[in-house]
Amino acid sequence: MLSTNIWTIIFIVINLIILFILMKVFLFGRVNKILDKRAEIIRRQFEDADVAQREAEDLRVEYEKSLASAKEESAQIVDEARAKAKDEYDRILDDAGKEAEQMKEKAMSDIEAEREKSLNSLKNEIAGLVVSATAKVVGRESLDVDNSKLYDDFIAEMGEKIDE
Amino acid sequence: MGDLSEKLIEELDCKTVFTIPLFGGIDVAESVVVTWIIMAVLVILALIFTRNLKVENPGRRQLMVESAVTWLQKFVGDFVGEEGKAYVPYLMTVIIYLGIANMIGLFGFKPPTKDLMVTAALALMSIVLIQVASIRAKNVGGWLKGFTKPMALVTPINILELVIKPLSLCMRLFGNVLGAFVVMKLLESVVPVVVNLAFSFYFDIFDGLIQAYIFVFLTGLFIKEAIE
Repeated sequence: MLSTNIWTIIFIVINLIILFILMKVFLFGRVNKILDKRAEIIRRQFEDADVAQREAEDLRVEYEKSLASAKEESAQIVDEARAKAKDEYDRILDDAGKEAEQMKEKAMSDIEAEREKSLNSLKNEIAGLVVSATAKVVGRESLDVDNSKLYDDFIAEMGEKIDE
Repeated sequence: MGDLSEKLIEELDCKTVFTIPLFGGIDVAESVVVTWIIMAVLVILALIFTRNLKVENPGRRQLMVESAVTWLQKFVGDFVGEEGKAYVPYLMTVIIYLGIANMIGLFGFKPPTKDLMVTAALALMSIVLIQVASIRAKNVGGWLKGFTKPMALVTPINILELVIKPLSLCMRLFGNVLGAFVVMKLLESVVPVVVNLAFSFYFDIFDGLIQAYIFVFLTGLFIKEAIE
């Protein structure tokens, strides 16, 4: 019942060592290799996902930044345009005012010139009338230029008196 | 009755199957042959189950093996803790071997663990492994100093433990398996097979697995103690 076969101990020790090696190589080793590989793949996938997420986040930030700058830029453009338009408006208004002033002045001077002209022609006519009236009074048909000048002077004198 | 006891004694005998004519005759015991059979079966099963394992889309067979190995690794790994990871494969091998060896009575073989020399060999390996683990973890100085802990007074007891630990491991396993074997053989000769079956569940399966568990659990525990 109680064997004392020392060889059994030696055999069992050797057997167990062999079994241990075989099990480690063929069972645990193989299975663990697969498990490690799978864990590695999963880890890498997580890493990839992380990287992708970070990239997406970067892109988003960049996009937001560019959007903000675009907004700013557009606001600036609008401001500039508004300023320009205001300048233009002011300039046009100014020009129009100036032009109107010029036209007014020109009109005034035209009117003045016209008035002058018509006054002169009136004077001449009056002078003529006076000459012809005088001629009638004097009884002579023709008069010297000297006389005509004489009347002109007279009229001028009279005119000044009237103006006054 | 005399017939029964004769049969029983024959069953209990650890027969020598054959002798290798070397060094004045190496006796190969029955338990060694059964161990070889167990080894062959285990290796063949391992080879079959781990044939073309795939990283992606594992089949049912592979999933089964994976979960079994992972479970056992965690189960045994808990005995030795995180630092004793290196010893997990050995402990797994022993628990698988012992589990099968203790239950092999179901298939009509004599359990190898019924042979005191087999359990002695296992216990010997356990105590050597424990000491090696201690030396690896703490160097020779630390290992020697470990004998004086927790105080110098207990040094003799600590040294005695070198014998007591493997002896208790060896005897516990041997006694349990032998007892279960004797009870089963007795039952086999007196009651019908159906009743036997119920007892077989306890003595062959439950007790066999429990003893394998205890042996590996204690070895793991000692290793954990040794490397702390």
